[in-house]
Amino acid sequence: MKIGRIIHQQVMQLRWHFLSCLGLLMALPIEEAFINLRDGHGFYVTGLSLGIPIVVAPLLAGLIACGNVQADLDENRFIFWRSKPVGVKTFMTIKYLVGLFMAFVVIASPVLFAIISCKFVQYERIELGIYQAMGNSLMISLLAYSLCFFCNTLVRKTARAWLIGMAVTVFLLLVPFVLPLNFKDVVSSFRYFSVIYLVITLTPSLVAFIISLVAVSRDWHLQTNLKGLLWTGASLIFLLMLLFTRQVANIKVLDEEEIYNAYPRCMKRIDGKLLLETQSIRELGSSPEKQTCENFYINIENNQIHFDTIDDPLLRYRGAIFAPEASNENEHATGNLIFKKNDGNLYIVSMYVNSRRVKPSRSQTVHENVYLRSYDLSNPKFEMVSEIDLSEFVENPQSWPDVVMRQIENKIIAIVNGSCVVVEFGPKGQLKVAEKLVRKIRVGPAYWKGKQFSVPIVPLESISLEDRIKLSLDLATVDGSYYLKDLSARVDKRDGQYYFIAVSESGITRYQVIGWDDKFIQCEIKDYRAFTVLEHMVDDTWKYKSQYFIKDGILYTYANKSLVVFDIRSDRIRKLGHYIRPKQIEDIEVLDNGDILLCAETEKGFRIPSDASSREVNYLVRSGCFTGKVCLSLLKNPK
Amino acid sequence: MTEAAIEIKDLHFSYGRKKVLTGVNLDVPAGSIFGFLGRNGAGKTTLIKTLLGLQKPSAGKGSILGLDCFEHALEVRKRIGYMAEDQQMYGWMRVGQIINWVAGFYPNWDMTFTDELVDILRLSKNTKVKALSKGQNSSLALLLALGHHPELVILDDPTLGLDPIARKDFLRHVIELLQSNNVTVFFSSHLLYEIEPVADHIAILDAGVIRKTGKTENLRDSVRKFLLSPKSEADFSNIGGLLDVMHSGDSVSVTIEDCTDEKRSQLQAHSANGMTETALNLDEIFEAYVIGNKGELLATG
Repeated sequence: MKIGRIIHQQVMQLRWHFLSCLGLLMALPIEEAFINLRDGHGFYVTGLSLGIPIVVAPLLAGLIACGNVQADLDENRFIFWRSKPVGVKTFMTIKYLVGLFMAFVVIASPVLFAIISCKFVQYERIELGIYQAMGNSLMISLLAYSLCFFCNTLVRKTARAWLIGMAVTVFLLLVPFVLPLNFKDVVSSFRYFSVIYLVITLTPSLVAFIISLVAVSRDWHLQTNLKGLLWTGASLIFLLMLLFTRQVANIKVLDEEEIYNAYPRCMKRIDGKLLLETQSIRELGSSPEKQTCENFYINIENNQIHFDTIDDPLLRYRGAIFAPEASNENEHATGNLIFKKNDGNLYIVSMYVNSRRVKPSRSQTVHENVYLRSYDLSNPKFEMVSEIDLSEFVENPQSWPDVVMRQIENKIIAIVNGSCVVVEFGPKGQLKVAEKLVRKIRVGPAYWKGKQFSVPIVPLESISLEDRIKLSLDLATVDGSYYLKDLSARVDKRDGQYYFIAVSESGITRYQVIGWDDKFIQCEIKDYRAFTVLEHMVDDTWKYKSQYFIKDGILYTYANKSLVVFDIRSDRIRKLGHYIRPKQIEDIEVLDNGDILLCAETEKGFRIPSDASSREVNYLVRSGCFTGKVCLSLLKNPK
Repeated sequence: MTEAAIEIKDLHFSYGRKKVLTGVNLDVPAGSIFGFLGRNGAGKTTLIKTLLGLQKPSAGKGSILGLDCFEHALEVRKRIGYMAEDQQMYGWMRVGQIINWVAGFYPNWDMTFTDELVDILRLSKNTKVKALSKGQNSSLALLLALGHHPELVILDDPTLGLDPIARKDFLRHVIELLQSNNVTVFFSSHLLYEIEPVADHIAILDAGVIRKTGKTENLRDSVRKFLLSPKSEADFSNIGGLLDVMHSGDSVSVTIEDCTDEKRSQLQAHSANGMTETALNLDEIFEAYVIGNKGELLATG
């Protein structure tokens, strides 16, 4: 038997399916793709233009699968090839593999085309996520392909087989997420979660393929009628909805009490008080210049909220507090810490990264210098008090340095690219290096294998062991931007036990410290709670990983429009509430009584006055006032 | 003794509870053209599918060219040619492409012979299969069944759906190509006049049971129809090999198999006066075997 001829026949049989699917896949995002090309980004380089084909790909894979066997399983043609000296399993396996290969070529084509076109226009920045998305798409396509292939061997009617195959695919992909499965002790990181995901797609694919072979060799048929199919589909949807209700019941629309309606941007914690920046536009109308900015302290005494006007020095330097001004236009502040000294003065310590464009093209930016500076906020001139040059820690000027700052009492831990200084903050705002460690700090999340693992202790001598443990665990959870400066934001100590929380885009993991020595902290995974499919659907779960903190054994995390609160005091992570609101959450602060202050956009969007001049309108547009009003709301303690 | 190309021993086959073949026994001599007769739904195609190893028999055994049909299905299929009833092929292929594709399955495919067949059967290699007429489609199916010089050709109702001219044309090709090459032909059909000129052996299948098998000539000689005026007390039920008894006014026609002088004497004894004896054509013999009442109506009436 000449397998090449069977493959050739198979390719020829599928050529129109292949070409039409390929054409459809390439044509779907054509408008966006041309815009990309015009912008010099390659043909299919952005997430949207590649995302569309990736989403559609499993549907087309199913279509190719159905077309693959339809001609061979027709009642009279079936006997034609079966009467030839070729084994059913060999014949069907070749068909399956050739069809799968062609489906994969179709699915991968947009990405391959993107890579080629990017080379052509010398655009190098293809998002890595695209490859991951394509990988996911290939896996789901494999499942859809195999199930449709299987369904068509039984049903032998293309459209019905495709519908059933796709329905089963969706069902299989959703069931593990909607069932109350607990991956505790099995899934400790996203990698393991990926393994489960692979099992979900590969196992049914393999089973479907094997049963297909048996079905064809035994000539199994399944009589279907449209009414029966519709009932089955409706039953499946009903079942899924029943399973979903468990999650739906957990999600509530945020029942918030609006306590201040202005234009607050964010909240800052200074001297044990909350500082709220507002941009009240009280006298808008005739002249936009009349807009006034006001800053308030929010005094919370006995759980009563009062708005106090900020003292003069703070008002003058509000810019420094919320977005510290750099000493020149090439410097960028990356974070700040506020200190209040005994003399009553407030000081701010910020880390600055100096960037400059290099000749001749000026298209490349280098970041050679990093400084730690302190300013006296009481000084009307906002003069620098002290500076420490951390530029020696910069390893690769072409990349933005990874910087982290933490405050431990009167000390500042400043980390740049794995090198660290402990800086003492003097009585007049002077900065003094107490300890320096070059390239000995590991910052960033680790993917630990197994239930137990070790985290290296930061080898600093100028801070206490307890702080070193907290700092080490805290640094192990840094993923992306992490501006919370409080060491207890992610690490806590309860009943003499240290534990810490890591939030990833897939779920929450609770770790507990079980011991330590001079160099390592031994940790154990206590619980993992994956985000449900509905939680994935209602918001960008990847934002949770940089916006979470612990307070009194409660984990607060928020993304764009969701605030999720978990009780993490016990070994079992328990969701207390999942609140959604219609617009963006800017910032949150948890009060001592557990109530939550929410700085968030409201529906009450800013409107241009009907008598506004074009100059006024232009001003408003430029100042971005159309993004909607932001209010300060109070949410009752979820407990 | 002639070696059997096909041997079937007590073969049973059922679709679920429905019995399709019941204890089929059949020997097809090598080199013969074997007419396999049966009405639609008698089980002919089921028997052929079982012989090709496409389905497992419930009981019994079948062998082709000395090989077990089910155990050595692939080896059997290499050595035989098969053409199904109303053969459908891949419409998108051209004649040349489908020949090349089928040739890939057979190690001994003869491309020169195939080219000759293309000319003989007046086919064009560039024509798409879906554009072929029914007659051309049958010719192509025949070509694909013969291109590897099979020792046995199984034709399952090959002329089904063809018009009379196409049918004759097809049969002429079958005779030309097969009769002279010592190829065993197992020709299944429900059309008697199609089989009669070519078959040297006949088997009649009815309701899953082989009713009769033997050489065509012997069958013709052994089945006789008698026309007589019966006596009032005439009872034909004790005559062996009674196939059909039909009343027509005062006279009765009696059809019996394996006709001997003894049976003639028995019949004569039931006749009020003389009787006339006639030979039957295959069509009538088939009718007698398949729908003959075997004297039951007479006995009950």
